[in-house]
Amino acid sequence: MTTRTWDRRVTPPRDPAVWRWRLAVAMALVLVWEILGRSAGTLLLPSASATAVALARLLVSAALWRALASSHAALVLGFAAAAVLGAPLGLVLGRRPAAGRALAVQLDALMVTPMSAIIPLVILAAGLSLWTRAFVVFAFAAPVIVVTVEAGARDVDTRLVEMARAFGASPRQIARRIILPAARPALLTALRLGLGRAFSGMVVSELVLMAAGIGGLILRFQADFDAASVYAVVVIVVAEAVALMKTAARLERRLAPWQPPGAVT
Amino acid sequence: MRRSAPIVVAGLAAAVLVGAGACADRPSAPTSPHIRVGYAGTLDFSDMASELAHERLRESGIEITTRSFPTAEIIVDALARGDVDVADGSTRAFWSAAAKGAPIRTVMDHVVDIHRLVVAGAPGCRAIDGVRLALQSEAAAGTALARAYLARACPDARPDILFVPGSTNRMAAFLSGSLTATVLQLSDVVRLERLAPGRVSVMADFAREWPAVETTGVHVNTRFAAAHPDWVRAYVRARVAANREIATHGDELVALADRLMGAEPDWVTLAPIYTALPAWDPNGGLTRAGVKETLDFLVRHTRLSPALTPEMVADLSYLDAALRDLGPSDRHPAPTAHADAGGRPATP
Repeated sequence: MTTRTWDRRVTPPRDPAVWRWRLAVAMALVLVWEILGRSAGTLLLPSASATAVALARLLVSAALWRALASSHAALVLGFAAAAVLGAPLGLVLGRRPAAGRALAVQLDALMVTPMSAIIPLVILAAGLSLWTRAFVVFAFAAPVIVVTVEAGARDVDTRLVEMARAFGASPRQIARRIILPAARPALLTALRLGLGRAFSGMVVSELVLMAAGIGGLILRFQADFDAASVYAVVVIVVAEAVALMKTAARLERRLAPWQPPGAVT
Repeated sequence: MRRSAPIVVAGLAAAVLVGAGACADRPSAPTSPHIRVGYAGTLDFSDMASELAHERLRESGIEITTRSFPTAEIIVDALARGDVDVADGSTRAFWSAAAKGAPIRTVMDHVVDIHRLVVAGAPGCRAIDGVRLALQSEAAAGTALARAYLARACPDARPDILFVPGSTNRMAAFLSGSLTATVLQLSDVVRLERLAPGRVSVMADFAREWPAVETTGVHVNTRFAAAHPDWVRAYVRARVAANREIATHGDELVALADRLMGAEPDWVTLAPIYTALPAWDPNGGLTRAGVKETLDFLVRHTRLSPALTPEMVADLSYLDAALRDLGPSDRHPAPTAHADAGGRPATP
């Protein structure tokens, strides 16, 4: 039996065939989009070329950058809070099975709660401010982070923990030397997935809770039936989210090189 | 060959997808009278007149199917595509689509503007200065009305304006104390008065301030109207007749709302307010002068295209025909009141 390992100094080889497939799929999607946009006869689906023109126009407009700055304030606050509170909670739940089981239902409920349906409750509880938007981002990202870290912490090899105990390691030493390094891949994956959810939360909060930032821009273009600009904004948000998640995935490979890519997703 | 395989496969997939989209079935045109009506959101008190008209039309043998859409933009697109034949909703939204070439015309008024500018505490320009004022959205007609009202009545007031979609969300924010002023639908004002008596004051009633500005309308797909002008005439006639029926038998409104939306204590409060306005114009609401004034207002205060003309957004021929059939009603539409708008408390 062979064990596949990844050396941090060695990056996976780039396969030209993969890039050919990626390019072909992207071109096919753009082609379908262009044809449907031109032939669908709807006010809500622009062609790919119209979206590209709107994208170019938007990238040089001050409104976009102001909106991005406003949106990212809520994103940073909410995601940071979700990471700082969610990761330790996930570790505790993973190492305390009784606590994990006790909170499992609540976490599952948080994962599936349609946030837009409870926005009036959120407003009643937290009012209307940057903090409320940050709370929505937190509510989107935190459950994913907790659940993923919990799974990683639960899967730490118990033989290692028992061996450390046998050698007289303190609980703190076990946590620092065994559990945290072993759970690191899950922790990094959790942050990556949480970041994706945080982006969704950011846009949802601005579309449903308070028309500000990127969501406000989308609502404004929607009201004018400027679908090309709506899609251009969406393309910008998606591109940024994908770039950040790719960066997080690279960080994962660097900080947890023993984990095969995509092991915990 | 192997190198070009991705391009070939992706190209085939694209062709299949486009073909599937092009072959999507469209419903064939019905031969017996059948009108598909769309409205945005859930049924509310403002829809009672249209629902009554639908009941009367069904009784007369015309098939009416109603369909709810989640947002104004989707219902506008549905009407433009012909997924529905008639739609109620924001004039500004439908006229924005008409400016983009959508085959849409407004044929009559739906309901008078039911939005109110409310403040916490005593109304007046000082109540609005420097406080947080939540409006619907940057493009909404209600936002334009609120801004125009403040510019006229309280030019020195500088509220901190923020946009909160959904009247219910704004009501929740008002209740939580995170807002001092906001624009609410009439039904939410009544609910707020019930939930927090004495906390809310109505500062402006936009229907009184701008009686000729038609913020909502009944809109038709022009292709459908051209194919079935008799059906559209019958529909408009039924809507006008329903408006009149409610105007003369307002006491039946609560029973109708109970039946269609479930019993609510607010219906009893809302019914006399709606009939007193009257919210549903017994003459259909839309006039040539009203269309022009609404267009001028929306072009001046929103980003509606200045290239639009009344003929590009409205077709009054169906309403004219209905009024010829039914005769004009002597019951006047919403009263005009341009005076003393500087903080005068109005009844909701």
